Amino acid sequence: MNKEVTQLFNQWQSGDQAVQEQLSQLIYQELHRLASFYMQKENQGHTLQATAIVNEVYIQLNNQNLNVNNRQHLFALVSNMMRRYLVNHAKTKLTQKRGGDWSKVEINSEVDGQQLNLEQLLDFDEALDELAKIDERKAQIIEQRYFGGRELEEIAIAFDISESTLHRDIKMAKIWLMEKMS
Amino acid sequence: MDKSLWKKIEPLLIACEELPKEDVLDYLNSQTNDQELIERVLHYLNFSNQSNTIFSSIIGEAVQSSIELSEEGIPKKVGPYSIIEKIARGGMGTVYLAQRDDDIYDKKVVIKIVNGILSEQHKYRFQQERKILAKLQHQNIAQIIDGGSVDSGQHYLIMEYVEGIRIDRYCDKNDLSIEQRIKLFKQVAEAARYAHRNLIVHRDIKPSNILVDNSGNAKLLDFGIAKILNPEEEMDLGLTRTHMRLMTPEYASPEQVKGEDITLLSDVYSLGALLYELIVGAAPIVITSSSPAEIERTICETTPVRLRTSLKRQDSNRVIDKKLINSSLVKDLDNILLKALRKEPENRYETVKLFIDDLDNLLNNKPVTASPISKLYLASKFIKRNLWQSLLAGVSATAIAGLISIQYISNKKLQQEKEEAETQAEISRQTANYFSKLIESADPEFFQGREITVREALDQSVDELLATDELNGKIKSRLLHMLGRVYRNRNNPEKSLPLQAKAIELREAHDDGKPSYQLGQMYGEYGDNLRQLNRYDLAPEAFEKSIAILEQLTDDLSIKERANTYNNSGIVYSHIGNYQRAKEVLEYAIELTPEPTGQKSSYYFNYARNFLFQKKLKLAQEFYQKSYDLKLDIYGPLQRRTLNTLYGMALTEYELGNYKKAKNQMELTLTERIKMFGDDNSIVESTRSFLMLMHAKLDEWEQAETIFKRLRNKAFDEDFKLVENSNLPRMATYIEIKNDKELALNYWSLQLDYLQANQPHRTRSIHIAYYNKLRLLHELKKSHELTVLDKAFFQTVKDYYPKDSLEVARINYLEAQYLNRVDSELTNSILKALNSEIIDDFKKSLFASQPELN
Repeated sequence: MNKEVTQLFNQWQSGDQAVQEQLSQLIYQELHRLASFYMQKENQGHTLQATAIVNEVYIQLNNQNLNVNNRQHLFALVSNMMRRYLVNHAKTKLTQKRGGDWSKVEINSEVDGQQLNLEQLLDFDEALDELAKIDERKAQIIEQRYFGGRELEEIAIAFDISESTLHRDIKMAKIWLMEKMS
Repeated sequence: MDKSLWKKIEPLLIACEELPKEDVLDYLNSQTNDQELIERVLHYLNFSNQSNTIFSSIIGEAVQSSIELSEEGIPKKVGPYSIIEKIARGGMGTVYLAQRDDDIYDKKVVIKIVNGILSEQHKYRFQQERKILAKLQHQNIAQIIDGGSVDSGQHYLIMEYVEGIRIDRYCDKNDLSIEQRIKLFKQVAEAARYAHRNLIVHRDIKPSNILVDNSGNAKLLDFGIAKILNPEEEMDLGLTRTHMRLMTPEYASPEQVKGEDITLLSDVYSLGALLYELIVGAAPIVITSSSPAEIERTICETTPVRLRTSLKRQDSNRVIDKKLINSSLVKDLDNILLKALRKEPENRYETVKLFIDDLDNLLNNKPVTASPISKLYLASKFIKRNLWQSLLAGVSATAIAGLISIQYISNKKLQQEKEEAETQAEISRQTANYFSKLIESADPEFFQGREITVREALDQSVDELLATDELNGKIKSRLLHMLGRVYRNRNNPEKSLPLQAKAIELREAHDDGKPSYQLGQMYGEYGDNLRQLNRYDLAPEAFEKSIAILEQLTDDLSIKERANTYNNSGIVYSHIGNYQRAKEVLEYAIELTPEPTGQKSSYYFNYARNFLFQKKLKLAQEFYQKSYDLKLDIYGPLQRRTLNTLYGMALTEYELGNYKKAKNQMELTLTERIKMFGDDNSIVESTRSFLMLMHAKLDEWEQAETIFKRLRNKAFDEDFKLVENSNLPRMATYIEIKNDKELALNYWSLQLDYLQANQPHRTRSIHIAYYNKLRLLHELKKSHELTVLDKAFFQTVKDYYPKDSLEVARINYLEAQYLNRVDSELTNSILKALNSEIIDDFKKSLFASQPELN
């Protein structure tokens, strides 16, 4: 898989536009897998709901000038895109809720609960930026694990660390982030 | 915070994480004098135990919310149509009501926008399929008008808008009779028949896809849509079982849930399910699980409840005339439905036309072609299922009284004493009376024709039985014992336990010290129940009581029971590491039991396992072989019990280092067990866990890794919180083979914590986990001195096991390593102390990681 992707990117970068379709498909699959990662524990029928979110990220991604060196890079990029997408979404939604767009103000307790979580997402995002300043690797690991939904092995390989080191990194990063967000 | 401060905090935090709470402060003070730093570390430690899933839930919530937001962006126009409103969001896409702008015709239409972007290849297919569907023109099919794609790349279909209500609601709202329902259904069947002539399969026939308008005309929606809207089915996005999520399992045929080829006959099945629902008010097969494997099994194995039975059970607000229940109309309709709903496509109506014809026969009082399904067929279906599940499904409550009487009668035959036989007859009579009275008084609905389930009957009877004064102690004890047994057979040992205890109490008062077979049996079953509940601390006492009573009796029945108790106690003794007593009692069991019997083969099996636990592998081999030969004779190859022995043999070969042989045996066991128990079963998973180790030893990493990931996904949730511990020992061993000792240590620590908290009496398992944890700590040269607890553990093991046991040898060796006192002399003396039956090759690997054997 890895070889295949690198090859595709090389071909693309050397101007072979024909591979774009193939590559897009691959990115699309990645995003799809990721969105379902957060849906899998829920009811059936979520597959296609997950697809809706993927469409939006995908369109954003497609509009970018991609410069990707390998699969690891792609993972990192997808995780980061996902994070930015969700953060933007949260900001938009919160602005609306706060009256930025008066027509969409809704008042009920369910929305309040959701709002709280969206605010937490923004805190999480900020804390993650802070973490990156003092320990970049941990911040990236958290980003790929939580926003990218990556498997542990894949992350361990990407960062060339053992799984126990990875577990420890995640544990430490979580403690740090939770302290920051508290 | 600046970087350098965190660099100081982190290593201390990591170390403290692994320390018991009370040692933290001492440790920190030993590492630094900087009080501010210590404060900081302690502050951070507060966060180490906070909810682990918080990040997942924050992000999951945002994902959910963003989906809702993306839906707020309703397109204003699609092609020449203006959207009026959003009607629904289904599994396949979003549905809008729309109207044509240019007044060419003012009919309203429905627009379905597919969620997802299609590749070029699938775009082409989508267009092709759409054209075919557009050709379907039938008064009972909602017409497809047009299709295309919107700016963002999503595809849409434009369909005729049908104003009407769902077919099942229509039937109930208008109080349709059975005949009227059948006639309405025929419209739907005709639509399917028309489409089938054009070789188009609907794939998703269900009540919500059928609308009936004011004039009573039914229209089938979404013909063939399931296929064109579901390109993933063939695309394989790495999401398995996509097909499961895109259909409604209640109406899906077995071949559909299994992901096999869907044919015209799949629609026949779904039509059958639809008709069944229209008549009965519930789908023929009720799905209660959301696990794909479980759904598949339910659909493929459950026989629909007969129409007559279902109609009797119906809520009173349904209007099917009760007089009809026993009519030939219902009987024939039942046969027709069962034929349409047959699991094997080849046994259903070959075409929708034949289905319709048979319904016409029924309506015209002509004989129907569907014949009653033969008793043999039903029996074979019945046997395939679990007996108790079937009972639960609808056997009348009086059956339980009957069941218990039967047990008494069969016991009676075995009882030689006349007096006892008379008591038995009296018990039988009283039991039947007691239960019928109980049931009648307990549930007023009983008189209204509703049959209460065994579960209800049981639960209701327990309290009353405990409270009643009507029965004498002996009979009451017997009834409680029987009820306890019923609960045990239904896998509810918790509920059984207090009943058994009370039964014993009453019987002891009655016997007054005189030995009786019944009391011996009750103690034996009580002990075995404690075993099932992991109460290895209490079980031996119950077993020994049973043995002491039964030893005084010389009739065949008591001897047989005693052998059984010996065996069950042997299993417990093995698990708590009392191998000596286990060996003794299992030898008695074998001695008392004639050959060839199934019992004896099981006793050999447990005897062999007791050797395996002690790593006396030659002996384990010998007795597994005896068990296996007997089982081959009695049960045949590949039977459940035969496989148990094969599994044990594979474990022995593994320990002997014959990995190839072990793997072959284990693979065979796994394949057959999957057939027996399904893929998603704890026995199957533990079989897999050993196969993983065998693959690893044979350098077959790919297979091993696949199993490992599977097991890990079952063992942990997404935040690596432990949810299932049973295969941790094998996973730890595997990780150690892969040479990640640190992670292996984590796994053993988790296992130890889990067992100590949840199964504190699994002595042997706890000792193994503890040993491996300490061993790895030492090998990893963790700056970890022996704690008081660890020292106590060394002593516990030395006191617990005999001097010449493997356990003591290992612990002596480990202790010497910790104290830096290992020399060749010590090693040799330890090896010498070990029983000579432990073979040489094995001695070499003696002190390496040991998976816990089951």
